[in-house]
Amino acid sequence: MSQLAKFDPGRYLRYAEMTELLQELAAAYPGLCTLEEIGRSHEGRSIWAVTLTNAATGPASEKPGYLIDANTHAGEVTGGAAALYSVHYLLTQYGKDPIATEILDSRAFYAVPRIAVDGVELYLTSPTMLRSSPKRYPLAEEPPGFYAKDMDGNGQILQMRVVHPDGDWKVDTEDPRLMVRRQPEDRGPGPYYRIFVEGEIEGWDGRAIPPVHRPMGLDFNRNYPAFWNPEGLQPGAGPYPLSEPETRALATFLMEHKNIGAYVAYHTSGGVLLRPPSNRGDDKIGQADLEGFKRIGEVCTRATGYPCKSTYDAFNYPGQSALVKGADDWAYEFHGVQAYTFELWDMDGRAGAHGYSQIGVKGLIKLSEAEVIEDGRKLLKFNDEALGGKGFTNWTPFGHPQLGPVEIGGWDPKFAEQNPPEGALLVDEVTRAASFTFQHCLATPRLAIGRIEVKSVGGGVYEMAVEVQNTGFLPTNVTELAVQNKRSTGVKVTVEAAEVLAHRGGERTNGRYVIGEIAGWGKDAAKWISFVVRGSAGSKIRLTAAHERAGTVRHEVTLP
Amino acid sequence: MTLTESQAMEILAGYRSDKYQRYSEIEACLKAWATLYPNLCRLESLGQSPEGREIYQVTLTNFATGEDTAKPAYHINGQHHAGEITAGAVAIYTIHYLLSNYGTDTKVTELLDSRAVYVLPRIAVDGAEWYFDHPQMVRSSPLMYPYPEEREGLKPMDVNGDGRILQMRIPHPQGDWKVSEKDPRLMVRRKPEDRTGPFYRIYTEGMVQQRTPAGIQPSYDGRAITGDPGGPYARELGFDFNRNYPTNWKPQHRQAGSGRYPFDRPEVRAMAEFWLKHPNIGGAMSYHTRSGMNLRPSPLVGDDKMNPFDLAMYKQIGEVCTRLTGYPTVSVYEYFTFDYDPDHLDVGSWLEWAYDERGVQGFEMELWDWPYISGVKKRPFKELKNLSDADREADALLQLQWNDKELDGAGFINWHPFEHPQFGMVEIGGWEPKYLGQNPPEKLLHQECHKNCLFTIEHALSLPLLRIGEVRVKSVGSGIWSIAAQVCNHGYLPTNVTEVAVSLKATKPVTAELKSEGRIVGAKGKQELGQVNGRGAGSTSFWGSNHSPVTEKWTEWVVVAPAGSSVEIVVEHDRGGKVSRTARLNGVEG
Amino acid sequence: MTISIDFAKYHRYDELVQHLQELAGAYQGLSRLYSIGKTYEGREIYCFEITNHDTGDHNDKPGYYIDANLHAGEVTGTTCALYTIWYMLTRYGSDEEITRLVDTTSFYILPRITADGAELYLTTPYFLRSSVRPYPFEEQQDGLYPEDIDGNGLILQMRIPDPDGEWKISTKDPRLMIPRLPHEYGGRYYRLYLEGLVHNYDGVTVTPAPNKFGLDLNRQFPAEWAPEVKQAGAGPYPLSEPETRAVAEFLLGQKNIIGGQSYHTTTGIILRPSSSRPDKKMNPKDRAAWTAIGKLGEELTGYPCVSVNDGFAYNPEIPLRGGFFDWTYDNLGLMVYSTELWDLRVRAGQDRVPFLNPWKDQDPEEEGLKMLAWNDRELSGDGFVDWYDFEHPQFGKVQLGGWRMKDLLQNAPPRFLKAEAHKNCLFTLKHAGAVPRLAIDKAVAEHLGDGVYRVEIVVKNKGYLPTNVTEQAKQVKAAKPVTVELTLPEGAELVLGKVKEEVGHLDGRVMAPGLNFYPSNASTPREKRLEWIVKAPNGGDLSIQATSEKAGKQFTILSLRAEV
Repeated sequence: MSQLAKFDPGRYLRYAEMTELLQELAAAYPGLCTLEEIGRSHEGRSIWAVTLTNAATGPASEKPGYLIDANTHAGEVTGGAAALYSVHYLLTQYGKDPIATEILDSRAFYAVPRIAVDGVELYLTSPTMLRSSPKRYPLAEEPPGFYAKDMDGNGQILQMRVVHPDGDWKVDTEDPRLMVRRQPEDRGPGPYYRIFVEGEIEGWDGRAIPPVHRPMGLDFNRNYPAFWNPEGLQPGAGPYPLSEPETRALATFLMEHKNIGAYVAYHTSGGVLLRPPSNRGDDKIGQADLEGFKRIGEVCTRATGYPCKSTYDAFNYPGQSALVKGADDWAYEFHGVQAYTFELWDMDGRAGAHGYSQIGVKGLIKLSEAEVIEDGRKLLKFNDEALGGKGFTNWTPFGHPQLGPVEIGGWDPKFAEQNPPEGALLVDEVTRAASFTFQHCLATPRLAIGRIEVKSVGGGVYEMAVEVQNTGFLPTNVTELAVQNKRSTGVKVTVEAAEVLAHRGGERTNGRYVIGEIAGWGKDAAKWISFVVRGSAGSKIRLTAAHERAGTVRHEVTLP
Repeated sequence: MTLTESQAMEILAGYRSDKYQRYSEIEACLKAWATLYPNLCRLESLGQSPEGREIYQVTLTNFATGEDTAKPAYHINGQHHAGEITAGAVAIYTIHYLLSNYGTDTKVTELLDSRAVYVLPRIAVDGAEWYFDHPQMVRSSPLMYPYPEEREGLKPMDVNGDGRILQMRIPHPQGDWKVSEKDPRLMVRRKPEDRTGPFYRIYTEGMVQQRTPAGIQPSYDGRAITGDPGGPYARELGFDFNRNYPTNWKPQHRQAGSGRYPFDRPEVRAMAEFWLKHPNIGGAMSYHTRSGMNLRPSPLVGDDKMNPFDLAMYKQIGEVCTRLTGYPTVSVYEYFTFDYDPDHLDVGSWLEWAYDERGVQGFEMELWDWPYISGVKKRPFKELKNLSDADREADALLQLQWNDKELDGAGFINWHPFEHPQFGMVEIGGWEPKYLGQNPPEKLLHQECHKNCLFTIEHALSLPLLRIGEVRVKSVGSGIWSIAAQVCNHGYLPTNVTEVAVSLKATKPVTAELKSEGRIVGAKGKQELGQVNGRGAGSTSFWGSNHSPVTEKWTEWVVVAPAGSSVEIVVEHDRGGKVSRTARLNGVEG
Repeated sequence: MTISIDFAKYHRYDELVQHLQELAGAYQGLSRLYSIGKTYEGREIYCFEITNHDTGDHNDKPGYYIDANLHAGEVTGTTCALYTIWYMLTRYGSDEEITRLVDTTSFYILPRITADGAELYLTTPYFLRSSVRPYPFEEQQDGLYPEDIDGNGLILQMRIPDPDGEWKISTKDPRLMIPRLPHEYGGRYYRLYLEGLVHNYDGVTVTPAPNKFGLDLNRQFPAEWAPEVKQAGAGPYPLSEPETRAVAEFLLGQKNIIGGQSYHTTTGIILRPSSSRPDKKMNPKDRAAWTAIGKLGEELTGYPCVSVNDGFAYNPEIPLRGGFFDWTYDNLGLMVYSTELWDLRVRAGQDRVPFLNPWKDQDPEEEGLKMLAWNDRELSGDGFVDWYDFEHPQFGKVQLGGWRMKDLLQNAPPRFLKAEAHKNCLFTLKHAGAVPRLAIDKAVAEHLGDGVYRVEIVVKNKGYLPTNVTEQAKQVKAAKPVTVELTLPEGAELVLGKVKEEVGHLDGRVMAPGLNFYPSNASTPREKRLEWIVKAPNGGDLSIQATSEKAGKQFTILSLRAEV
């Protein structure tokens, strides 16, 4: 049975399944969908991009563009599912759902549903946890040290607890599954525990337990040119910006599609729409851009219930140097794209516990021990009630070859902590995600030609006034930074099949008349330009208005 | 003079934790304890005050388990400020509690067996006596400071001879105060729209002094009353021991009370000298009044500028304090500062010196919950200036109600007429300044002592504690031995206690030395192991449960020595203590 | 056998490659020639590797790097690089210093990076910065494009008579154009433009068109990289071009390289980092090494050595971004100098003006006259094309003339090339002599009895630079610390110590600036003592390998036997 026929938004698709699905969609909707390979991964897998637009209403390049991508981080597979769901929905609902129809008729919707193709495959087919790529990084070899490993062969890498008089954990008084911090004044007989990642020690001398070594330390989202720093200063950075085929493919795609004005990168987890900047507060960005980020952020909150925060507000906390993020910061800082990172799946929120999406990391570190314990209990309650107990494995004895008797247990790191389990919860996440991005896509600017007033002044000379409108919510430039970075150079009007004697409004360069940017919804959402042309009555003049981000519109005027 | 046991017992029978003690009473108690508990308590004087009083300090530890200097140590001091006599009382109670519960209470026993506790109950010995003997207030010392002679203006004096300095209210059409409609005792500020009197002017109880041919003395020309020091504080006794420390010290014109130079006063210097000779001090508590708040660093910068590890440890221990005393632990800068203008931040305090210069995890406990005990909300100081007159009135009413309920109104002396020699008929009244405003009434003293004593016990027990764990002796050839030893820290805090202690080089690395008559080969006999984590190290991360900190390190040697001979392993650290273990070279576990 | 190369000319790509192949063929025991990548148009970017193959693999020796032609038109650098290859190979065995260097060091020489650009530069009248890829605009823009409109093979200047012109002819030399004075009216004045044509000319305004080949490969590296709007020539993203990426990949892969020379023209100055930070912000130890080695260069070339930010930036507030040697220093901790070859203005008699704003306080007439005099003296006037009439399709009657750009202003004229190459070659050899060198000084095994041995070795850095080369390398964790690894004989066990010991970094002779004349401990330890206890059967061989990323590998074997 074909992937298309059996498509289930509540499943995580393997690479082959995803590829088939995309190919079948492209074949099934030739007029709406094109599939292309934009690069090859480290292990040689194709990285796919789909372009969704109704070819009958014009080529994608002449429409405002909108981009979603997913799985910059291998383990955040909810994002991949959300991207595939969005593509599938837009194509299958075209003509039925007015929103899907408007998107494909008026916009170019681009999706790169899976960037870390290698990493996702490893994540879905093994117990391994990894950031982006299976590539060994920063060290090519694997030094002695503690390595996470599925010791008891249950297919998951959980935690090991070991009884120890100097342990820093103890069992909660209310829920015996919950490990809580041993307090300074806890001096009773215990028992107290030490907690380690499930795993073993390479080259152990039978003495002190070394720190965990994570061999796959590459982080695609630290590999973008904005605020890039070398590994020594920014772990995961890679040897140089866009050094990886995966990030380069995405970056090149975004740069080559100059019509892309807005962009959402799907990640997990937290249940928050993150926005630039990640390295400074809101007082240090353009106020118009800030306003735009916030208004669209409110759209997200209404559509999904997830708040919108600047990355800086969400992650910055005392004693930590400002976190430097990746693709969205780069897209905004250097290309003026209104870019967001959408952290899906908020288990804390669903369980009624505190999460950084609500109070930020600086709030989390302020929580009292009592509040932390309360949160832990709520999460386990959520596991029992909403996850059917599958999210948390109770502590079970295990004879560790090196540490002797230990107990293995804890949260499922993949399909509870990092992602929802397959099924209803996943479907809920992906539909929430799409419901926002579709609205975001339709908020992009779009040019239209409004009124045209032509009058003859005699001698085959005519005066022609043209109104160029922006029918989108966002201004044609989308952001101030787009103008500063010359990624948005104003609306350009051309007049063909008539000799222009003079013009008013706009500036003539390279044979085109540039009338600047046009604001979004509101009184300034249109601009006028008028020409004095020579032509013969009845002849047709071809008018074109074009903008990198707001599309191209054409109109034919017949001289009276 | 030395005491006999019976004399000592008689003195201690008289000790009460709900009474404030004079210098002589404290001296007697300390000597009595030293006499009765020679193997747990030693008394010494760190120096003498300008008026010739001893600066007493006791060392509490089980000397049978080792000298105090070989153990991690905790320092408790009280009364940088003379009038904050609660501080001395809590310190004295702590000595009493530790000595009388050793052997019965497991925590106290563990504490004195494994750690050393130094208690310096009263620093401002001269000032404290002056405080008991005079109605006026005194900051630290009865020394005329910053002005060496009397000055003109209204000088706080007990004009009606009731032993207190309260307030005087004088009716005046242009008065800026009026009587509250809610409680006749309460004075509230006159609002711009208040047109109908009576209105009052309020002054500190006292006499106007003016320059006369006979010098400056009580004298009033009937004109403006100037120089109201704005409270019962006798500003001429303005020296502040807690601004006399070298850390960020500023001279008087930029920091009131700071003295002529750091450690200018013998009392403060005596304690500092002791600290410098005792690098084993890793934790400390300095007692003050009042607020019912436990102050932690930093006094000068926000939490975002603090060392993140030290901040996390301060928060963890701070929560212990809140659980035991009910008093929140707050940053001086974030909570206890009126405005963040760097020029207005207090500098040269003990807390700065202890943490920013010695790298010691010190707290400054502001004892006595007044006025909050009456239900007034605790607010960061910078918010206080935003309080409306209505807020202030409401707070004052809460205090009056509490006073009526808990103290039968004794805390507020109601306004009563008095014929003032200079101003004629005035009314005198107001809050009891010393035994309510600055210190709890004696009936509330004990609870203050007890709960704070319990916290310092926990804090001291969280200090690092080095022990030698497993020792593995292996024969690697005839007469050649390999010896491996495990060095453990059983404490909550790391051996360095704070990370700034390492960057300040205020503490040294842990050393492990092998002593043997044989030849040690392949490695130094004395090895540096750096610092050893405490079990608290894990709590610096908030992203769920992480890899537990490992609180032990291994070290090893090879020695060429005859079978059957023995070696000694000595593990040592300023703040982690000194321990040793001998092992016999016989091929089996030593 | 000797290979003769004409160094009095600029070499086309094919000639260059031919010479390299001949040299590689003639000195097979000392050299390897290979490509590290392809250019935009598909030419190979060659690396010529020099080291004595009999003294060990090139990866096991400290590496020294030289490149040229990161900027297409600066072809003098290629001559220096080619000369250096020839000079070392032909003198190996006879010259003591060169023999030692070739035996103990690996040289990696890239004579021409922008092979496409250089070819365009040498075969057409056009100037260009780096690559022939059209950038930032793919289609033609409005404005004046330089063109050889009279077909004489040169793009010179056009002077157009105009009563409102800002230039006039010098009374001292009719060839020289000098500024019209503020109060002047009524004379014959001119406008000066580059020889060329205006696209979309409206008959009035003449504005320069944006550069057709606007890429600058020396603004492409990920050190404070900023996009085009902030840094002209930056490219779409760092290392977006095949040439820069090939160079970066090569340096990231060839971890033994400690630094080197990246040749540019012109000015006659030796540049070094930092471009963005003043010298006083640089780590003092690094600064000491940069200046000490730079001084050698000053003595050999007569060119002063300055940091870009302190001595060369037009405005230190607006730092150059994405520069090659800032990347190699900031991110890799390497010491790459960049010599701006050819000092025409100084030769013409200008004193070395501060490099900040080269024309500051200079009288343009005096300056021009000196240059013309030098041109007449040294080049019998060939360097300046005297003004001649030409009918311009857009401006009508104009005159063409002026300085020859390529073989005078931007490059050393052929007859000066070899001398330029020689003195700069010598500087690179001195620089290469300063590399860190790992050595195993002492290695003993003492039998303690019963087959138990105490093994002791001393590892040392005999070079001038530390094994981390720069403190910057430490700070960004760019240089791996020295390690010593044991391979135990059959049946042996390690009783004490680790099979692989981390030694950390070893200092070199480079001294942090200090009062060294004042009696003090003016020496620092550059060696480290290591010990192990090994139990082994009699007669086993214990092999010890010391490894440093930058200072090479050393190897020794100890035979473990109980003395009888």
